[in-house]
Formats: sequence, structure tokens, C-alpha cells
Amino acid sequence: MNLDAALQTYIVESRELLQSMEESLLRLERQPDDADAINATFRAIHTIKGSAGLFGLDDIVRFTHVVESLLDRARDRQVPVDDRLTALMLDCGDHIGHLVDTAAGEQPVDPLALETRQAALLERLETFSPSSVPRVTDMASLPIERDVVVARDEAVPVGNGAWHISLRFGRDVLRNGMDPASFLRYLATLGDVISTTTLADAIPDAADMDPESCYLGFEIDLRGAASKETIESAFEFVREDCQIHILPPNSMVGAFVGLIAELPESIERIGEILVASGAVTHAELVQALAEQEASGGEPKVGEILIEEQVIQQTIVQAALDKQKQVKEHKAADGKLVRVQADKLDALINLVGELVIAGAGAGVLARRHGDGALQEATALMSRLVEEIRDGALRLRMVQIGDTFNRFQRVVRDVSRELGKDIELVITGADTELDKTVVEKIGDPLTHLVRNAMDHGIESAERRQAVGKLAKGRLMLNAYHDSGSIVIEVGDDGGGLNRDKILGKAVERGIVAAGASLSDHEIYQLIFEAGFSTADQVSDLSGRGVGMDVVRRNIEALRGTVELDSMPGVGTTVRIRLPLTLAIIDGFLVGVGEAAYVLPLEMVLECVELPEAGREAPVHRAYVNLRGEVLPFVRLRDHFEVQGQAERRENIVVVHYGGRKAGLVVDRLMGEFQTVIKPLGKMFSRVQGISGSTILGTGEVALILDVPSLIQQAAVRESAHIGLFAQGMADRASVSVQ
Amino acid sequence: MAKTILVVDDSSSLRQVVGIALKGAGYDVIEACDGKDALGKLPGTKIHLIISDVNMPNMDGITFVKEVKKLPQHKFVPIIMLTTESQEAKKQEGQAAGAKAWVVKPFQPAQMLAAVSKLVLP
Amino acid sequence: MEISVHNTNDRCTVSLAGELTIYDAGVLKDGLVAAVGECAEIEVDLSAVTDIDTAGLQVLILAKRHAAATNKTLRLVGHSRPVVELIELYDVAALFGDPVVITAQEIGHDTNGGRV
Repeated sequence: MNLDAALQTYIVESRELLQSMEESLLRLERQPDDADAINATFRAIHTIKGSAGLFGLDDIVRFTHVVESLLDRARDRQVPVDDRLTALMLDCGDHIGHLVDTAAGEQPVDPLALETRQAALLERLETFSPSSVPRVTDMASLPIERDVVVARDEAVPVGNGAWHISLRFGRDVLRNGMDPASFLRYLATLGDVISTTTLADAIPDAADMDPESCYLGFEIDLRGAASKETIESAFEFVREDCQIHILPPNSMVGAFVGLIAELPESIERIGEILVASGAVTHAELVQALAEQEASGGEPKVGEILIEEQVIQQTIVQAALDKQKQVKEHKAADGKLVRVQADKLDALINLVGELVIAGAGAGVLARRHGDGALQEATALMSRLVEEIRDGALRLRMVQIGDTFNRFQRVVRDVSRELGKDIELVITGADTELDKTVVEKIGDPLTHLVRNAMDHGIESAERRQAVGKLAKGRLMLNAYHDSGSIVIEVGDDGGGLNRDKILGKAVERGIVAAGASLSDHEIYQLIFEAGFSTADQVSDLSGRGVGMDVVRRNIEALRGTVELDSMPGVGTTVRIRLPLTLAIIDGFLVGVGEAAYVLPLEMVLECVELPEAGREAPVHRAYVNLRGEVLPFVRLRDHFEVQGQAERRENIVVVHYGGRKAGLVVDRLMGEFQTVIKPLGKMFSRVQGISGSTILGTGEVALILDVPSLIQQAAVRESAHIGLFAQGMADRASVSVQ
Repeated sequence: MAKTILVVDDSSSLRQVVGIALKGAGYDVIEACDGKDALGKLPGTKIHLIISDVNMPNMDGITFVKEVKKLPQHKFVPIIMLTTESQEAKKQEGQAAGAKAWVVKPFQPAQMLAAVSKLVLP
Repeated sequence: MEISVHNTNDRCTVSLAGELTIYDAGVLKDGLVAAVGECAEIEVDLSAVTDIDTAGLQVLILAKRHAAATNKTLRLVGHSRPVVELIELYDVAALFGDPVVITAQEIGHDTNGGRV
């Protein structure tokens, strides 16, 4: 199901509603006091309008809005239901029918005639209640909200200070289905919650406590680029059931004093929380409170506050900012130790060996069957693993610097393209391995340029569909189950599904008539051979070297996917391992040797059929469910001594849209390990990218799958003639 | 486990678009075409959020909310009501019945997603 | 939600299973308050809790306080994933003071260096 299908549903549905409205109106003509009929008429218009908004059919929304307002008044008997009204409503119904036809693109209705008719109808509508029916001229300003983005709003300087949010929930929120936990979770999507203090002080004694009432309050510090409006909107549904105070970053101490005065808890209690969360310092607070006391003790807090804020607030603010910057700088300098990267690598390398040595000791302990010794080694290996994780974290850096470099790129490219585009960065403090950061720049640049060039429409086109003229490009990062996710999003026109599918069929990437989901179709633009330079401007979507981007990401053992919604925008999501030093591997055995394959490149494992085992090296391919699969025999490739086992297996691997099989003796399962760089000695062996040591002390080589696939593919094409022949001759070589 | 949202509206195209947006964001969606239909779908089903129109045939949204508030297994489910700005009186009646979250039609899918995620993240 | 109480002398173990939500908050409160009334030492086993909301957590806070106020000891043990998650969201671990044990698998740090 896609949006086009939904639009078809809408058109059918609207026509049905118009039909039933006509019936109701005709009934009304005979019985003007038929309440059901007027309700049904109202509901029809209401539904047509409500759904039109979803499809961006603004013409329909504007016109039905006027009709609906009048019908609403008619329902309440503020306007008499008479022949004049029903006649007008019938005409309006016809007109809406034409608008729906236009939306369906079925009849090329003369736009001028349509406009004239609409103007006439609006004038007639206006005669019913000139005061409350929106005038024609006002209609442009009707509330058709388009520019709604969940998190990111305009300018609050990032990185200095946090929003302070103080919440006291009303007793009934839980009963109303509003769980404070949901709002806190939602806040966490707007920025970084750097501190949360839950106040349970208000929970009464067991005898008086109503378990369905809410007694909780929260003091929260949130860091991020969200505007006050955005943060406020998080609580829009509890506005009446919750005492909410939001203080912007770097608020004056006075504001906090004011806050304290308004909260139900004691000064000491709140003061403690604010200091602990870093919102104010102890000294600042003591001084402000002392000033308050000196000025008479009575709650004149507000006055201090106002005085303090009004008197040359900008100057005070500037001074404060400066002081703060100096402080922050000092603090940061004091906390940082600069270390050379290679020293760190050496440390991590050593820790890796320590992990392995520890595992070896564990094996020995188990063999001895000494319980105490086993326990001791288990504890040690756990600690060692913690040290390893800690050491790996040392290499983690924030992605913010990389993101910020795009400010300039966006500015320059915007000018180049003559578009007005702003960059919104979130998740700047998300950490990832330094080596990954260094390699992510190029693919990101590609994606950003692509989004600006092909994703975001021209200002005129945006305005024509009711969007803000200013385009928006989003860079976001967050951690998700052991990976870092980096998003490049735009609020442009989205991808053109049909064009992509057409192109893919034309280029033979998918078979004509294949049934693919929207998501699958969007992913096609990452296929090799999907795009060539000559179609850059031809395709309204992307596709410009996206296969290169995918290959770059996959080289970092990551994945990339794309979401798009017509008219709303496109988001490319890159998922990368947090570090390149650890690999999720699949262990296989050939003879005595063990090899590790990156797990994400493994598609499936199947047994090698008898016929395939006899295949000479130049004809190494099998028929995998009708698909030609070239394979490499690791035994031959690495010249492993000895006879192959009776049963061999093919591990089907994929990379960059290509597949190949690797023939091994044994499948030994998944495991996670530390990658050690290869010594110089191995640097010339093809097909190996690193090594690791197993718990038994044996070395396992990590296979360089891309180069192995390449090798299989080269051989395949070199023998393409033979191969075609071979397929015909040897149809018996097949894998079920 | 994905959170389940019940979408109650007599417009099947609205249900489709809202459904696409919600499913895309990772929610499970159950659809109902009016209050009566929706009440029939509640028993035995864990629902994390209800989105309901106000104006519907058979059983309108306000009556539906009042009925939900009587169900021991569902009375505390958060409810988002869909309304138009012209219906202040309905809104007050609905709020009194316990429906505190209101979204004004027409809305964009992104607006609906934002509203939903304030109450239930996927 | 299922609540089962196991008494041995002056100690009791209250095992909670299923969803600790507002729908069962009343039953939960009554059960815990009763247990505090009967025993000097109460252990609340949360390992089979599949979901918890703010109402559920509030009752746990209440029980902890109620025990302290009547000079009893109430300990939460075996925090299941959803419980840990909510406690972390609200940052109320200190309020309970009971050690929350998180296994390596749960936080995804199960990076053993070599075992298959």
C-alpha cells in the first residue's frame, strides 16, 4: 500500500460522501428540521476536508473549510436551514466534486471557469454570516500547517548550557492515559537529557495514597538545539494538568530563584537539585537567596528577578556568557589529556592480547577442573573485557566536529544552487571510533550534496506546494544497539518511486513486473549500475553514485538505507559499527585452519553438492536456486594441506551487490572478536584483512571478502563463454 | 515489541495515510471505521494509544471515549482526538470525558507522528 | 499482574509477574502494604515483570517508604529489563538504594574475545 493508492481511496471516498451529502440535502429540502440530515451533511464535508489535508490538497481544504464553518452554524441553528442554504450547499457539493476530479487528474477542467465558480460560491457563502465566515482574502492565511518538524527549531546556540525544565504533574494525568514517562522519553528525542531528578516528596502515607494518582515532579536539564516552543509542545497534552516551567540555557540566577519560589518543595530541596544538576552553582544560589532575604524576606523574588533581568540585560548576559566561556574552557582544559593516537593503538593492541591470554588461562583452568581457579580466571577475564571496552572508548570522539564542517558546505552549495537551505544538526555529541569518523566524511559529503541538489526543491516549487521557502537539511546521529546511526535528511519532495522502478527495469536491475515494496524500490538507487553520469539531471531523485556511497559504507562494515515520503522528504540512514577494532564474525574451518568472515557479509550457508566438488578451478560455479553463483575454494586459495572433508559447505557472501560462495570444511558459528592488524609479512597475501587469536591460542585469519568476491567475479567473466556452455552442459550442478 | 495504535475514523483514506505513517515509524496499527466498530475490536487486545475522530456515524468519538473509560482493561489508554477548530464545545465535552490530547484536522502525517510520539514512542 | 507471597518466619518474598501498570496499581499497593505489615524483611522479586509504568513505580516507591517508616526492610531484587529502564529514565536508583544488577548481555557488552 502506498500513498498513491491512498489518494485513490480518498477520491472514491469523497465522491461517495458527496453523493450521500446530496441525498441528505435533498431530504433537508423537504424536512428542514431533520437533525440527522444536517449532521450527515456536516460530517461529509468535515471528512472530505480532514483527509484532503493529509494529501496536501489545499484547494479542497480552503474551500471545504468555509463550507464546514457555515454547516457547523446551521447545525447549531444559528443559521436557518432553508431552501437558500440547501441550494447553496448543493452547488458547493458540485464544486467540491470538480475539485476532487481535478485532484484525481481525470478531467482537465478549465481552471479559469473553476476559479470563477468558486469565487461566486464564496460570495454567496459570505452572505450568510459575513462576520464569521472567513473572507476570500483571508483564505490564504488559513491554518494549513506544513512546516512541522518534530525536534529541531530555530536558533538556540548549541553547546552552551542546558534548558532547565521543571514539571509537577497533576493528580489525574495517569488516569487520563498520560504517563510522565512518555513525555520524558519524548524529551530525550529533542536533545540530551543530562540530568533528571524525580521528586516523589508528594506521595502521601500508604493509607492516603491513591495508586492511580500521580504524585511525581521532575527537574530536568536538557541540552540541545530545540527551541522553547518545541520543548513546550512536548507537554501540549498535559498543559492543563501539569505545572510546567522552562528556563532557557544560561538563564539568570534570578530566574532560578523565581522558579524555586513557585515550586511546592522547600528552598533547600530544590536548591540542592539545581546545584547537583549544574544548573546554578552553590555560590550563585546562596548569594541570590541572601539578596532576596536582605530585601525584606517577603516573596519579593519576582522583583529582584525583574530588576536583574531588565537592567541592561544584554550586558549582564554578555558578561555572564564570557565568564562562563572562560570557566568552561578552563574546565575542559583541566580535564583533557592529549595522547598520541599510536600510543593508544598500542595499548588497545596489548589489551586485545590480554583478552586472548585471559581466555587461554580460562581454558587451562577448565581443563584442570579446579573450581577456585576457574572462578578466579572468570573474574579476571571479565575485568579484562571491561578494560578492553574502556580502552576502546578512549578512541571515541564526538561526531560534532565532522557535522559542523558541513555548515560551510551547505552554505556554499546553497549559493551555487541558488537555494535557501539551513542545516540542522542534532546528536552532535554522539561518539564513535576515530577511525570511523575519519572515513565517513566523503560519503557524508556525497549524501549532503545530493540532498541539496536533488532532494530539496527550488524555493518557488516549495512555495507552490505550501512549504516554507527555506529548505531544511538535517544531520543527526545516535547510538542504537551497538551501532552508531547517522542520518542525512531533507524536507524535499521525496523520491519518485515510479521513475526509479522504471529506470531499474530499463537497466536490468529488476525484472519487469517484479512486485517490490516502496522501501525495496528506494533501496534500488544504491545498486551498482543504477546510475551513470548522463542521467544526473534527468532523474528527479538521487542515484548519482549512490552505489559508491554504499560501497564506502560497507567497507566500514556498515549498512545504508533510505526512507522517503513523497512531498515530505527523504532520510538516508547509515548504520556503522561503533568501532572497527571489534568484529562480529562468522567462524569457519578449512583443514586445521580457522577463518573469520564479517557476519554482515554472510547471506546463508548451503552444502556443496557432489557435482560442484569435482568442478575444475576455472569452472567454479554452482546453480543456487536458478542463480549463477561463482565460488572460491578456500582450501585451494590458501593452499591448505590435506584432503577435503567428505562434506563441504558453501558460505554465500555478498558485498557491493555481488555474491559469491566460499567453500569451507566446517561451519563453526558466530563470534565476536578483536581485530589485530596484520604484520608486514602478510600484507601481500590476497584475501586476508586481519587476524585474531582464538581462546585456544590459535590464530584465525580474517578474510577480505570484497577481494575474494572480486576474484571469483573476474574468473567468472574470463570464462564467460565456457561458463554459458558449462551451464548448459552441467545443469546437474545445482543447489536446492 | 511494537506498540499498537487503534485508529478510529470513518474516512478510510485518512486511516490509510495515518496507518502508513505510523507503520513506517514502527507502530502496529489496528483500524476501525467508527466508535462501535472500535469497541468491538478492544476486548482482549493490548492497545497503547487510540486515535479517534469526533464526528463519525453509528457511534461518535465522544460517546466512544465515554465507553472506553468504562472498560476495566482499557480505561487508562491515552486517546488523541481529531477535531476541527470550529468544535470548541465538542472539545470541552471530550476533555471532561477524559480525552486530553487533541489534534486539529487537517494535519500532515508528520504532525500526527509528532503528537503520537509524545504519548507513546514506537 | 500476578502477585505471590512466600512467607518463611519473619521474612517474605513477594514475587511480581506480568505488567505493573495503573490497571493493577491498587492490587499491587494492597499486596505490598500487607506484606510490610506482616514481615520484618521483605524481598520484592521483579524478575518476571514484563512491563511497568509510572503508577507501578510509584507504588514501589511507596512500599519502600512505608517499610522504612515502620522500621521494616524492603528490598527490590531481580529487576527485569523494563524496570531497569524506567528506573534509569527517572534516575531513581538512589531513591531505592537497592543494587540493580545488569547482566552483560543486557547492555550488549558481551564482547568475549575469542570464545566461540
